[in-house]
Amino acid sequence: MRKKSLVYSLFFHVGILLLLFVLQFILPTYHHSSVSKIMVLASYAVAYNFLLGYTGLMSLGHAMFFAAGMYAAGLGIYYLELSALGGLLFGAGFTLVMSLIFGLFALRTSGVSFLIVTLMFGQTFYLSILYFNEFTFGQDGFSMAKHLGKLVIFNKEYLYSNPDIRYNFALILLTAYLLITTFIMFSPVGRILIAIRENESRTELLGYNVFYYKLFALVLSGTFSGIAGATHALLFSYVGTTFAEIHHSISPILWTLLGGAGTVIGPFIGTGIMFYLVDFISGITSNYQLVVGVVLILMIIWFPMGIMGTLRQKWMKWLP
Amino acid sequence: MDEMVTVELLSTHGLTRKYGGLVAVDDVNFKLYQESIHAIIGPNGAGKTTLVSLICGRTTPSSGRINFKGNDITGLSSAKRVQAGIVYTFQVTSIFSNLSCYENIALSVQRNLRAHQKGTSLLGKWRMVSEADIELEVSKYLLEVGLEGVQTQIAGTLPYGHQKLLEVAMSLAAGPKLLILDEPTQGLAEAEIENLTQLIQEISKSVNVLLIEHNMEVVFNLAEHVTVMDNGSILAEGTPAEIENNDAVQASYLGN
Amino acid sequence: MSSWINENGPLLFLALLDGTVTAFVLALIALGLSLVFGVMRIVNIAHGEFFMLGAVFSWFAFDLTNDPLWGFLLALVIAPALVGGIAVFTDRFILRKVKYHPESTIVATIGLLYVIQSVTLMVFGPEARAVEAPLYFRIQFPWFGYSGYKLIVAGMSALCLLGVWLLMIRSKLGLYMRATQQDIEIAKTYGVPTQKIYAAVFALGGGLAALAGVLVVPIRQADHLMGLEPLLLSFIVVIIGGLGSIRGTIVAAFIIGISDGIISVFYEPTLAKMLATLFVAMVLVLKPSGLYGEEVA
Repeated sequence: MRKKSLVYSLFFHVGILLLLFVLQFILPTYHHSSVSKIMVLASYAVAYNFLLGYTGLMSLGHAMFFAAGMYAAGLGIYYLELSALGGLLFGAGFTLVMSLIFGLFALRTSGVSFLIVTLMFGQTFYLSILYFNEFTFGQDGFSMAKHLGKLVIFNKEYLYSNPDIRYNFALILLTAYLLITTFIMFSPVGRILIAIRENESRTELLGYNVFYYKLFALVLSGTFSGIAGATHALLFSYVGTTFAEIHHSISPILWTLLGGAGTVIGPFIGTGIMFYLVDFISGITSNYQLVVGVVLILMIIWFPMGIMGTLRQKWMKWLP
Repeated sequence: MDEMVTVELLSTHGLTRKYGGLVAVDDVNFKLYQESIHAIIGPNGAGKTTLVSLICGRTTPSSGRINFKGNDITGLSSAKRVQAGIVYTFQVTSIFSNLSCYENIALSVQRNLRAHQKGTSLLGKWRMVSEADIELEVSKYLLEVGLEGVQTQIAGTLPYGHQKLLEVAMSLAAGPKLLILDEPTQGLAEAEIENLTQLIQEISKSVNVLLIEHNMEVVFNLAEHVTVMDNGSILAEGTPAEIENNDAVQASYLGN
Repeated sequence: MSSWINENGPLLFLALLDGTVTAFVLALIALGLSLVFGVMRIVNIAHGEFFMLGAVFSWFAFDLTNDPLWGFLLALVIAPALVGGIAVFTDRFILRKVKYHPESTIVATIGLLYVIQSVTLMVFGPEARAVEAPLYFRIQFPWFGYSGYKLIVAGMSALCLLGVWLLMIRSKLGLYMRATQQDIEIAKTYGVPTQKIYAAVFALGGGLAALAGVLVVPIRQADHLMGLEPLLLSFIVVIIGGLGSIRGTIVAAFIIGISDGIISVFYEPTLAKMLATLFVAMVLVLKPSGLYGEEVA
């Protein structure tokens, strides 16, 4: 039964990824770059969903991981003259250590306390970027364009901000995250994480050290968020504090819930819909925040399982 | 009649748990022997659930020690105690209501199977337990408690009595040496109680059982050894017959 | 050492005065948040927006009457009432629908925050607007003159806190609220109308925040973004004081308010905020129930 689900899931997700791959040759320029951005942000949401949808832990400070990866990569390239790959690895490593330390402290709390701890640490991180602004360029942020080298593939040189490079790298990132999430959720570990989400005390009393599993989920989620942030810096050439603000912590919650928490593809769907919705509203009024707020409220009341979650319940029982 | 050699399985030494000014468990020296069904009875607030919480690790003691199979387990987390063989079922049935019955039991089976694999060769240690193995075991446990065929049903949709049976199956799948049942018959109908009593009898042939119960009929039918608690201390110990004839117990509990 | 006091003494005194005013106002706002959490077990992320609405409604009252004193008095009455109404509406049509589930209410109140903030932006505009103080007089200290209105703010906040305390201890409503906080199931069996109590508590929380907004707006201007900082500060207060404990909230408000006053005068605000948020996070990690709070389930 599980084998069948795994096979269906792989076909489904690979299908979507192939569609995305093909799409790049059809899309007009504007949508081409929109989809690139959506894919990177969706990767952030997929990483976030690993913690929220599957392990059942809501964090209100995840922007700090995204921003940590972004700043570590950006500052590493700027000051230490790392290569792009070096910056990416540095961003990943930095975020890995950061989420590990954070997890060791924060996971001693649970429920509402955990939520507030994540909110507070997220704020602290944002404020520290502002405070050390001689080093981090503070509120203005900085551009990466001049400091990134060129990418060399098969003896041809490309800029990292080249649209095709952007699109395909973003697609690679999203693909990796989707596949990794699917495999983990079908593994024994995935079963344990879902059990923790459903009934933590029962899971502990069946012999599982719940703390370690939560820590694993948090570190994975945080590190992957950081890698998404680093990738964003490389592909979109800008490092700035907007990515460390509370709004950037709330966004993945919105995207994940809309698309369906606890489904692999849900966060991507949610990110895409919200991106275009905000885009559309911004054409009419600059006050898209109102729409976001209304969507959040309507969704949580009528549609808490999100789009893919509802689909899964009604028709696609095999969807992970 | 030959003297049965009684091997001690679990014992507590000076076990105490205070909550501010309230002493829930007061310097208790409790002993549980292998191959016996043991029941703890007593009025509400006597400290039965607290004592059992201390044993399975949900609560930490204010002072005292707990020994299990010769080892001091006082410092062990509850997860480690389950791994050592102490498994607890909740007073208010605690299962994974939104998951299928299969998933409910698979979780226990998964850990238990892997734990047994660890004892094998190095290659065996790294081999993941296959889903086929898990499916076999899940069916086995469902059959044992009398719930064949509910694998795909969502656990929360089962009638309450069946949910209790599911929890027992989950607990068995965890591979207990000592199974602690906290008021297992509460909320069940007559027929269900009888069914459960028979099941516990069956289980006790291979697993030690410790019951907390208020239903005296069940206690007299099942238990070979009874501990009576009151006000955080052990009031009396003995066979059901001895307890029934104990004046102090009559006064504080049975008589009421 | 004494020369430091001579030099910095007046500055310190000013910091203390400002800190005290901040503390009183913060206590009002945080108390609202704490009551809601204590009784309803939910976190209202839009709480800061209730504060902002109080300030904004006060501006409208001032604009309407064109007289600082009448505007102030009008605002004192209608702002908490209007915000209380919005709160009751929110409870009935949003919170109840998500059954007060902790994570769902967080998401819903985030949505509410966005809605309130953006509607205010549309109606009120992006600029910050000033409101004149109802009474203008200076208290002359040996080193400086201090705004008499600020002292009135402190005084009125203190009265208000006293009023809430009396409400909780002496009134039937307060009894019901405390009973619901202790154990909602038992309260129901004793006939406490818990649904109405929830609405009342949420309205009270919002009303307190709005009242704080009315008091504060002559001191600082009204703008649609002013709710975020008080929200974070009241989180800090409620956590340090202990979720659900009134006494703890008030004590913590003073600690935070006065420290904030002193640190802001002598150090850079960003550093102060940074250290404060970090401190709070560590408190939660090491002592989850804060100073006075009960064990959070």
